[in-house]
Amino acid sequence: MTFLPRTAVEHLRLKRGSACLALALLVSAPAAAQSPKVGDPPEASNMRLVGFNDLQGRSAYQPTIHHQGNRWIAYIGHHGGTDDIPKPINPITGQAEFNGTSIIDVTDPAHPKYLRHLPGQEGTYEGGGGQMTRVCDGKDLPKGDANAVYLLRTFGGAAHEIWNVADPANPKLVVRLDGLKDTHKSWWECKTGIAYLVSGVSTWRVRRMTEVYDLSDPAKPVKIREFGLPGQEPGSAGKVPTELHGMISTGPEGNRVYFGYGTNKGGVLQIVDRNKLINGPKEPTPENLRAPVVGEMEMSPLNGAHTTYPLGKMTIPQFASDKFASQRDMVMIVDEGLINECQPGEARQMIWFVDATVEAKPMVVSSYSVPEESGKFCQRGGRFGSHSSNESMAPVFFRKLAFITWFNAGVRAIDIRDPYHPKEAGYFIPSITEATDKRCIKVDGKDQCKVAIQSNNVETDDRGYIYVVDRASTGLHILEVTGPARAIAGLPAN
Amino acid sequence: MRRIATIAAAFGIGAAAALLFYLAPASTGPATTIRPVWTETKWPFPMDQWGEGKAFQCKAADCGAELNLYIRPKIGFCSSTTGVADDSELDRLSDFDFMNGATVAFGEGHAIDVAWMKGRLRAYAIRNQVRSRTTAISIAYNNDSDALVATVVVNDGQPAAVEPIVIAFLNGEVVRRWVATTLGL
Repeated sequence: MTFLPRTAVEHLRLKRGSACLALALLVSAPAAAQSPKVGDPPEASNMRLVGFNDLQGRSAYQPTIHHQGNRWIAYIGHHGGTDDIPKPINPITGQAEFNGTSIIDVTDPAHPKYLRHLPGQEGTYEGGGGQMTRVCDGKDLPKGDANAVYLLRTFGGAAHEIWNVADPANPKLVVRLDGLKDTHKSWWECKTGIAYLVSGVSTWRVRRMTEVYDLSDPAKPVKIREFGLPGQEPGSAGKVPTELHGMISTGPEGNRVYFGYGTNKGGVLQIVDRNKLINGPKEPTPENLRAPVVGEMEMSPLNGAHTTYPLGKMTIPQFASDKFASQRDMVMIVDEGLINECQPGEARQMIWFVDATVEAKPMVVSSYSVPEESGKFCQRGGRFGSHSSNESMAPVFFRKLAFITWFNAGVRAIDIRDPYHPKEAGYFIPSITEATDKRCIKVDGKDQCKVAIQSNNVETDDRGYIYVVDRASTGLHILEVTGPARAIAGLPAN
Repeated sequence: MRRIATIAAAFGIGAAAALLFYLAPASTGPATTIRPVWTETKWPFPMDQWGEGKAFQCKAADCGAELNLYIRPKIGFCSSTTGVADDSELDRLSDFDFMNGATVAFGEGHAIDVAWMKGRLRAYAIRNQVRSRTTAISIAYNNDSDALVATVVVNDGQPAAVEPIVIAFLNGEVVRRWVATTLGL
């Protein structure tokens, strides 16, 4: 692979949009090719490309899709820039800007319109940018400005920020919570304003832990408490438990917060009583950290918990006739693969389904992994393994299809109607472009680099569109399900 | 004195000997007369998320105290930007499970250099040891985002006295060659 000078790359990016849509029509089965090439068609089954945006060539992490008035707006968090392009040019302003947040009007998903790039923290890769996004309407928040729309985002690892994005093309900073050492994938309850912020408070023994905030009035954040696994708190000694990755709350109705610790190793699923967490004793002592915990499951040390997605009570088809426990309380855990090309240091990362009907004793009952041999993914370049799931609980896909990013194996649509027997219903592996960044491993002391898609994060909207973003700077792909996968979701045939 | 009181409270009377041993003036003998001989031994720990590493032993007659050193990589577990910047990061990386008991740091750690890499070292007292004069050293250093974590269990020796021996061994050909192979350098 020859890397073109930056100006040439930008030129090609501007010309690429229409070509990508044309390529979408050329769909093939998974190729046995070792490393994809520019010009190769996407690989797909029961999913198809609807629209594309190159995100100005910025490495992307979390997309949040928000129904804002009569528009649909995508807020997409970015990692920092690359060594080759640490500060990409924003074609709208003509300025070089550190990666931050892309704001895109996706009302017409076939023609996404880039509205604004909101720069983030200086730095490359995970050392900069603004990876995380959550959005709440002011009219939903108990003390919010009814005319405002609030974007909660990270500013590199150093801070959380709230912006008023009522006019998404002209965001206004509302507040910043800074002085942190590593932020990440937070959760914000729009109806209560309670936020679970993945932070790095300097006195804690881990880079990431939880700060619980009342953001019901985003302009006046009120800290409720700090939280983590016992042994992580200030003043403790000895072995440091696995650090936090993220959490999902079911709000006051469900009264549970599902915390995931571990990323790719030493995973822990922690089920917490939300009310006790918020209203219980707040001093971070081991006793107080244990008090709200209703269940905890240590995974195999070989796997981590990037995303812990509660599916709630589901009728399990094979138990449907049972007079006892025919419904089960299910949680999906998604690991994150970190290592390129299946190299030493990491076991295969995948997704797990946990039966947490008895909350104190959750148990893994099934798993799903993309068959490596189906695409020779360990040889394609970059990471191969699961990373993240959609986190929307909109009815269109909830408890029917889960979308999981799998780095160089693209995004996978998993039929989860029977979570004891999950199965693949479709997939889409986007094409690489001239903007796709290389991924390297060391061979005999030298970098051996390949270019492959690195589907990083995914989100869905209420309409049934799927938004996949690329860690290797390829951009945003807007997809829809087709054929049998579409039937699973109950969407009209297209 | 506050540190001493903290350790004493954490360990109880049973480990008082270890604490006093640590606080005693360091012998000058080992630094000038010892001839370290390190022998590779079988990796003694069960499989965990980091897999197996290398184990080495230096007998008391050769190192002034019996040293059991365990080293393994933790791939992608370190910040390539900040490295092992402080004791919090060292504690996060450390293999406390290898120390055969609960640990309490004797004090703050300090920066070290190993070959082209930088890192940090800290000494720990071990609770519930049959041998009350057992201590441990944890060392972590990094090559980009990959950490190398060494744990040294010290029997009848002072961490400060054996530290130069350990650092010299980590800088030696055996470990450097293994690091290069393991990290694909």
